Amino acid sequence: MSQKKSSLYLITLLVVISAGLVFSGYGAYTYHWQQEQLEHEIIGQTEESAVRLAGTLANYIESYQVNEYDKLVAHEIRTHNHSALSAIVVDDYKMGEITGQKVYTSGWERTAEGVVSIEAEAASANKLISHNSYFAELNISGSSGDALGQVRVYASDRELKKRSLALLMQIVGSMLVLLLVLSLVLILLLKHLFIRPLRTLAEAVDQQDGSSIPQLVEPVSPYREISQLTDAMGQMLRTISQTQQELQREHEYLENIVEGTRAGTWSWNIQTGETVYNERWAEMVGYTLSELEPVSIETWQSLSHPDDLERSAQLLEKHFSGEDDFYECEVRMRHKDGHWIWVQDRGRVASWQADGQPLEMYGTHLEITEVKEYQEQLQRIAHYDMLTGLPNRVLLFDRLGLALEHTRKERRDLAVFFIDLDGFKEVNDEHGHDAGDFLLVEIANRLASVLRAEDTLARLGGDEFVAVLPGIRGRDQLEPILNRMLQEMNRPVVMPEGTELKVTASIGVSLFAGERDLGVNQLVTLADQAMYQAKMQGKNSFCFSNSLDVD
Amino acid sequence: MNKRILIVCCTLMTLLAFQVRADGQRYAYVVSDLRIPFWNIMWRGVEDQAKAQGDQVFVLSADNSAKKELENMVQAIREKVDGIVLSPTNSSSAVTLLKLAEKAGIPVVISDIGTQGGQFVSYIESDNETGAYQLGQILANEFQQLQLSGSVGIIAIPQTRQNGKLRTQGFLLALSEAGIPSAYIHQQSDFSYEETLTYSQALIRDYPDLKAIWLQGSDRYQGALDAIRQAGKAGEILLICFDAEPEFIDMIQQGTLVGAGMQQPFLMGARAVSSLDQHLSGGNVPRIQQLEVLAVSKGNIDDLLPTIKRNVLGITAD
Repeated sequence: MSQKKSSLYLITLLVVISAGLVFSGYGAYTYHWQQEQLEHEIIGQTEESAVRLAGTLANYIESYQVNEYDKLVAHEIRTHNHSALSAIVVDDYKMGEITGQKVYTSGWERTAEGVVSIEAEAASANKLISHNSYFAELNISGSSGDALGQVRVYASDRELKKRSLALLMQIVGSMLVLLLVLSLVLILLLKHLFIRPLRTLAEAVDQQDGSSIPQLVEPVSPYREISQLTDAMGQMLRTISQTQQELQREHEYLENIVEGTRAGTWSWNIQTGETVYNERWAEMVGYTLSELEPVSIETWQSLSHPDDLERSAQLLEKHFSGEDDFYECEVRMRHKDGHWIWVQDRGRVASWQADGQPLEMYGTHLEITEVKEYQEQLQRIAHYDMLTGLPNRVLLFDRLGLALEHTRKERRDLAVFFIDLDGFKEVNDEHGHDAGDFLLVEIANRLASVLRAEDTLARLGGDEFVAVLPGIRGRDQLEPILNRMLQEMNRPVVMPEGTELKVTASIGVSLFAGERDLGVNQLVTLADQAMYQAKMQGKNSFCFSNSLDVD
Repeated sequence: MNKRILIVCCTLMTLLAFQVRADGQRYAYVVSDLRIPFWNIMWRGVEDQAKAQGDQVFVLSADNSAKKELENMVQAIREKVDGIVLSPTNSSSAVTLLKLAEKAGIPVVISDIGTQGGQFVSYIESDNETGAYQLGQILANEFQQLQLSGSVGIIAIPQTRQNGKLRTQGFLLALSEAGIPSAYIHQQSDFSYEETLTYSQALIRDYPDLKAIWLQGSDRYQGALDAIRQAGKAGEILLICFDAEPEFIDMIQQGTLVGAGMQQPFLMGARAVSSLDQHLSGGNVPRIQQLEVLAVSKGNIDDLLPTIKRNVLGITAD
């Protein structure tokens, strides 16, 4: 800042140049005007002197007082304000008569040596006229009107030039002095009134506090303009300070929120693709921000799961179109280690282009991997049996409902097996619940092994299992399956300690062919009833439901 | 032989011509007014000296006319005189006259009056200051002898004139040295009898202790005497004059006049011509020559009488 030129000198230079131009113009005008005045004055002097002498000399000529009028002529040319007069010549007719000449000529001439008397020859009119620029001639008449002689007054332009030069020097000198004084006064005034206060102001502004905001400026000038500037700056600084404090508070607030929520932040210029992430954003995916440099929207795209990108694009479009007030999408992102993490991506367009296109968008990333995993766990708890891992009643009925729908569309049969173990209570009683649980797990595995992949095996509770078999083509397709189930049940289960346990199963089957509008509960109930029928028939058997008995 | 005779003749003629030139200059005396005795006596001095030197001289009187004075100078120039003695009407006209003579290449010696400028060989004047001083001393002696105590009134020529100033200056110095106070100084303007009478009466009336009147001129002395007599103070108020009149010799001897400062016009004229001659002979002539003013009193008049008669009154033969 200090290396820059001071405006003081520029202002002074401009003012001096301006003043110089004005003064020069004024000086030129004054010079021209005064030169004209001088010329008029000189002409006036010659004429005045001629008139005065013509009137005065008459008496002297008449009385032949040659030396007296000669003295008057000398006095006339020597008079201090007659410096422009260069020569005065008197032609004396009466004296001429005495000397026998046409005229007796005498006079005085101003030379470099001073005012000297001139001889008649030197006083000849033509000779003097050739040396002088101004000339006045008057006849001298006596009291009776008779011609006594002539007086000729000459003025040289030498005096005019001399006085013009002096005038020019005076004007130029005055102008220079004036300019010098003006410059000095201006520099002092500018320095005192503006530059010094402004410099003090600038120094005060340079004195920043810890927040990089200039300290409050004290009044630096008693004058209004600078005082107003100081007040305005003071007001501005107070406002800035307050605003910055507020911003700081908001920044800290947001920073705490971001830190507290461990949110990654992002801003995205939708039109240019320019994107800014915070460190946490990169940290979520196992990187530092510098490792991801240079970042752009493609950084996000490259790290996101392709399936989620498509959904994200759809949700963004809905937000851009105004359908959704906010953009919100759960996205999987690939961690640096290779595994996927879940991220909740939220944002909102903050500024729009004049044509309605989104311009800038701001948002956050919150890692929700644990939440997602917990949700999945809850999902499992809600829909699966914790012991066997088989779907529980809720999931069974859900899948059964779906299967019913498909069955109606496909026009195939749907079979529901209600399986209840025979002798399980005794196992529990004799070998304990752990043995029972072990047995149930083994039984579940064996039942599942008999079923197809598209079939569903669920545990309703205790030793009751239900299997749903969609896409069945009649009862004949079921019997081999049922027999194999019974065989698998009959095979002893070897306990961890080596004990062999043996149970059987009674299986009730309800078959739905889509011809009637049956619900899931009815199908299960039918299969349950058929299972009781099988138990009644001696256990270790299966029995098909007679659907007519449902009601 | 003829050649020798020719050479001798030429030499003789040349010598003769030189002798004629040296001894036979032709001068003109251009004077303001020959009717005035002073100038007339001076002319006689000029004439006497020229005659003594073997020169020719003629006089041209302007009769106090400026025009005629100029005409006289032009005439003298046309006469191609060898030199001019000039007693101008005034010091101003002298300048023009000198200018004309200078242009014609004629040397000029000024005898009295003086000039305000111009070229001249020599200016001959009276030593007015010393003469007046000595006159003052004569009056002081008279006061002492008569044991008079009182003031002296002065009727002066115009004090704008240099000779007037010098006369007053010298006289007052002598009075001052003697402790005699001066009364009022009246300046003459028309030099008339009435003027002198009036001024004398005024002095007698205004200054009761008046014991003497000094008249700086000579020709109107009667006015002063009449005023004293009319006031009944004859013998009580003394009269002393500058310049001289022929009757002053008797008046001084009789005591009517205490004294007179007498210029020597005859001597001045003679000195002018001799100066011209000296100049033309190639000699050095002082530019200003002051001639003594004779301070004549009853005590020294007998001794100075021969000098007075010749140099003051121009009487060359008894």
